[in-house]
Amino acid sequence: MRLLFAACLAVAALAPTSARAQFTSNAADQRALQLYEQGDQAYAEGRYEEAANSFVAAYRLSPRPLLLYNLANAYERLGRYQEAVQSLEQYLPDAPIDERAVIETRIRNLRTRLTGGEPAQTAETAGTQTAPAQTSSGGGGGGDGLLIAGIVLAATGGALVGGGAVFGVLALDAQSSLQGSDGACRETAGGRTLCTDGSDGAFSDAETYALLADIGLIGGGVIAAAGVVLILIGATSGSASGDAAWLPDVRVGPDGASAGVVGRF
Amino acid sequence: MGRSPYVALALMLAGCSLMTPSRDRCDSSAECRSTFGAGFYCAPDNGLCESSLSPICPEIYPATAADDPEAIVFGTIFDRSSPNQQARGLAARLAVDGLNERSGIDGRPVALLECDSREGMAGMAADRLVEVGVTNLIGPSASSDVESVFQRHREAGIFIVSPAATAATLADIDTRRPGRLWRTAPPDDLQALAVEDALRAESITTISVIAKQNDTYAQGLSLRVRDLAGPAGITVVESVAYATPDDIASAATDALGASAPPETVIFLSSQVAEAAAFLDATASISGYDGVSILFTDAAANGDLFVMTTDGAARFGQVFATRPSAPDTIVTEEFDSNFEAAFGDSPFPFSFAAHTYDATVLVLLGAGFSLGDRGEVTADGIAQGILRMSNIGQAETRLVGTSFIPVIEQIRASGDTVNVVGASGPLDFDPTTEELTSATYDLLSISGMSFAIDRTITVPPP
Repeated sequence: MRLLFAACLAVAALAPTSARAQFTSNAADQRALQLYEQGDQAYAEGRYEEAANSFVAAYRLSPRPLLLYNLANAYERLGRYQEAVQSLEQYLPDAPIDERAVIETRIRNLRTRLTGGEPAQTAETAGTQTAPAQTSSGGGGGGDGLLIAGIVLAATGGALVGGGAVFGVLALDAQSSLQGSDGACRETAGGRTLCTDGSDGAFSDAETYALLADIGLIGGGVIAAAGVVLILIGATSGSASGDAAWLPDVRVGPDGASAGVVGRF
Repeated sequence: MGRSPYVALALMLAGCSLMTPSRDRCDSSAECRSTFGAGFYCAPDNGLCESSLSPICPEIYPATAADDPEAIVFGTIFDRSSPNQQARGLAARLAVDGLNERSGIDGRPVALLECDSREGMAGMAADRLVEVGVTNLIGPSASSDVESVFQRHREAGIFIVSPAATAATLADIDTRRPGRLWRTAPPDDLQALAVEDALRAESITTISVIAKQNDTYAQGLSLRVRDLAGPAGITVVESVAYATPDDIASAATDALGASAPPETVIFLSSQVAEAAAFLDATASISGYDGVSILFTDAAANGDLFVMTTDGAARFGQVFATRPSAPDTIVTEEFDSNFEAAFGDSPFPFSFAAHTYDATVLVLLGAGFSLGDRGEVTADGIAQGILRMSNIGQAETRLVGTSFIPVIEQIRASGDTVNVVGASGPLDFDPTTEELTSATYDLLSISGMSFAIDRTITVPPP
């Protein structure tokens, strides 16, 4: 969808130049050309209302089909999709055959917007000609960045949590070996845990394992959580642009557990 | 998101706290022993329970007690390089075996942490025993060692039964009643009487006495012998003190006097090696030809024959006094059991029977303490020993089969017994807590061993 939109923009960018070539040298045409150039200038500077008025006035003096195409562009920028559709439909019979499919698609998209799709863009939010397109396109790119960062963080965090779990098992194992009936640590009748000096090595191991487990589980958990948050933000951003949808996918089963992200482009 | 991350974090932290090992510092050696076994103590520097064994206290007997939390442990201090004192260690083990074969005290085995007093290390051995929380001791042997150990650790509640310390002055250093310093060896007040008896029997009228300086045993016995000499019509020609083994040769010369030499020279030292050095010194002093030499109990044992070199030529001039074991059924059982267990008769070794008795008294006293107070304390053991020494009652032979009955009897309210041990009647004066009578062997050397010429009972019956 973004690719199509970019293609439309490219067509729109090329359109004024094509319209200029249709004017002749009579007075009405000269005035129409002048109005077209004013409209073109205004369009380039983001003054779409003024551009639309110039294109309408020019069309009245000299009904060149390409002026309808430019007028449709201006209406679209103004959020006046119905008038944009009418202009494009009016232009379509005169459009070059190889462009008609693109224009028809564009008409369908505009109609989709008219029936409750994307909110209509207002002139106040459209500061520059390229800004609306960049915002839309850039929004999708930011979502991708967050998504990738999120996946990397989540994977790293998951690996750390896994490592932490392994060290946790080792710590518990070392601890149980210390406290067995033949171990170097025993519980007194008063519930205190006393150890012999023979416990130092195993105790040191258990402490090291526990520390590594702490680092893995807490650090990995935090990193994984941050990754999941980024994934969700990225997915939400992608969904809002209508171009992509991302969801975290966590599965737990008898054979183990997995975590990942699923989405569509 | 909500609260779920916090819940997860809390669960993780709970998991971590379960994984992190923890251990407490021990509070006392008793706590370590009741947790890991009699062979452990609480090391104050790191709060861990460490093995009580060390180079100076290298063995626990029986070895299984080291890991037995139920075992009740006592300390021994003997010179493990001396065959004579090795026999004392074996005699102590025999007593332990006798009680453990009968299920110990209330089902709890008894054990000995055995420490070494060789080369004057009795003090260090006692330091180690106190450090590991074992303060109820059998030994040391030398009176000077007993005095220094007791004085140094009396505040720590040390309890001593010495099988061989005979110095009369030991009676004065423990004024508590019941006291914490006991001995199964008769005090030298009694041995001085035996020496006087021996001199008179040989019609000796002149003597010289050589005694080591700063030796509680030697100085005390020297004083008692000289005190008794005058009233007995015996003249003391010289009384010589020496400071170090290097001074023994000159002391030997000085003892001969300026004019006529004495008929007998009495050499007093708590160290048998110094008695051997004295004999070696006399070998080259012609003035000793025809002079008899009297040793007392500290030198009258088999170690003398191992340590003497040139002085062996003087063996024929030597006679000695030594506390003897009476010929009773208890003594016979001890001799028989000792020989069966270790392949040797205890007879050549001095104070072996006294060591057996000392150990039995401590063990049975501990039995009284455990029943009476729920724990083994110095005062409890002392109270138990006093209950076994009621001179007015019929005698109870302190053989293995009577161990448990004696414990049960002295635990009974107000009940007492009158025990006879392998070394004779264990009749302690209720006031001085000293043995009130003793028998001594009068010995001479035949070949390379001591032979009993006769037995002397003091005071005379």
